[in-house]
Amino acid sequence: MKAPPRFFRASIRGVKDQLLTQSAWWAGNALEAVLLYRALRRKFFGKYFVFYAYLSYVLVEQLVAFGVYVFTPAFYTKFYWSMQFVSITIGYCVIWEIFRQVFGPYPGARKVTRNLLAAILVILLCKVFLNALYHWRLDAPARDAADLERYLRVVQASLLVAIIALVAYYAIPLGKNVKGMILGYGIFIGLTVMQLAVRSYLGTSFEPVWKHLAWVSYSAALVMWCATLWSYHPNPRPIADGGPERDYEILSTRTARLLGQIGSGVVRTMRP
Amino acid sequence: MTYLISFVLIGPVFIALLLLWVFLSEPPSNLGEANVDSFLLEDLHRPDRVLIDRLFAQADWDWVSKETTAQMAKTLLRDRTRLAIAWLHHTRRQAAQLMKLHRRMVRGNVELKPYLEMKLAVNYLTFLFLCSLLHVVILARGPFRATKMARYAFRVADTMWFVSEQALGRPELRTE
Repeated sequence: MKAPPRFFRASIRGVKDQLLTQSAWWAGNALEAVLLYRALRRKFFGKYFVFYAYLSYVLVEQLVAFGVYVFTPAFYTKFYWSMQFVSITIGYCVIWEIFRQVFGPYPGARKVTRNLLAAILVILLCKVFLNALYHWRLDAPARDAADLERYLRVVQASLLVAIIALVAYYAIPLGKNVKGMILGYGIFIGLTVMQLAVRSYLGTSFEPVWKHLAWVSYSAALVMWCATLWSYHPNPRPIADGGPERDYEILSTRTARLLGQIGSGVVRTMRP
Repeated sequence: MTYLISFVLIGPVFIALLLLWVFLSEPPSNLGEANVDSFLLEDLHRPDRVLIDRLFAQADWDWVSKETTAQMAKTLLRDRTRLAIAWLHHTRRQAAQLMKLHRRMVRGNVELKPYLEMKLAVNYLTFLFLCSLLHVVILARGPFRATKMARYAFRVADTMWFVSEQALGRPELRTE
């Protein structure tokens, strides 16, 4: 059989590409709408209000972006990056929501986490500032919008790592919903950082692939959220262990003393 | 270029961390009030000084290696190594249990002082370092020679331990 002429093959590929992009895009929006519908119907939208506000924002933004892309394509890139920064800002609110949900019933652990998150933010801001100062770029700390997004996503990843580390350290039990929220958003951030770095390196040649990959990462998060936020699974209620009524000084003193006793055994074996 | 590669790596490492956390995280603890109260009653036993002294006694080794056959000395060395490692595991488990209980009890406490928690964590990490060091030395040289080799490293770690306890502001906690 004779192969179709080159321009015809290119055009078929173009149509296929368009079809694939459009399908993935609409499927993602449908998943998002289903998630929102489930939360409203099962009446747990308000329990994770900030998270669902973020999902609602992304859905509305996508629909508006579609309109912009169809009617004023020249304005699309500018629109996309402007909206992206609003989305990142709300993303920080999602991290705050995760923090609130996880550490709400544990004031002690919350205090440690709050200090740690503040320290991470200060350190990273100082790094960005010093870096910009070093390169004489105080007015524009990043090369372009994609670079800035990458930095902001890395900060989000650092905050999530700190939260996870303290969840593990204080053995805080999490429900399916919050765990899924962390995992989904984390996967999205991880994939985005990776794609933005590759894009920075390869430049415009990576642009057509990147367009699809950006949706793949968000779809991965959506699938994760659908699996874990299909119905309401709150965090287990904390057992009354310790509790505010017990004196912290006594508790920490006792731990230090007992740890000293156990340690003294090891130490004695090494003494001359 | 290297800078960008580090960013490319951050993504997968972060995702791997997340997955590790999800798959390795324990189900909600079943430790109830009874365990917490037993901690408050100081149910954790003090390490047995006689056992430790006996386990690592150089005199035993000197006597067996001089007065008996090489085969006997080898058997003693193997058995003592196994016992020493078992004791070390037990000690480490006890400390881990203690820290776990402590964290469980203070996580809901409004009075919690982050700096004090950090010092306790440093103290615990020093302890873990000491245990790992002793483990390696026991495996490499046997329990009888372990003491000599670890002496210098111990002095460094002991100083760290002491500083940490002093920093807690309670010198009376220091054990003999």
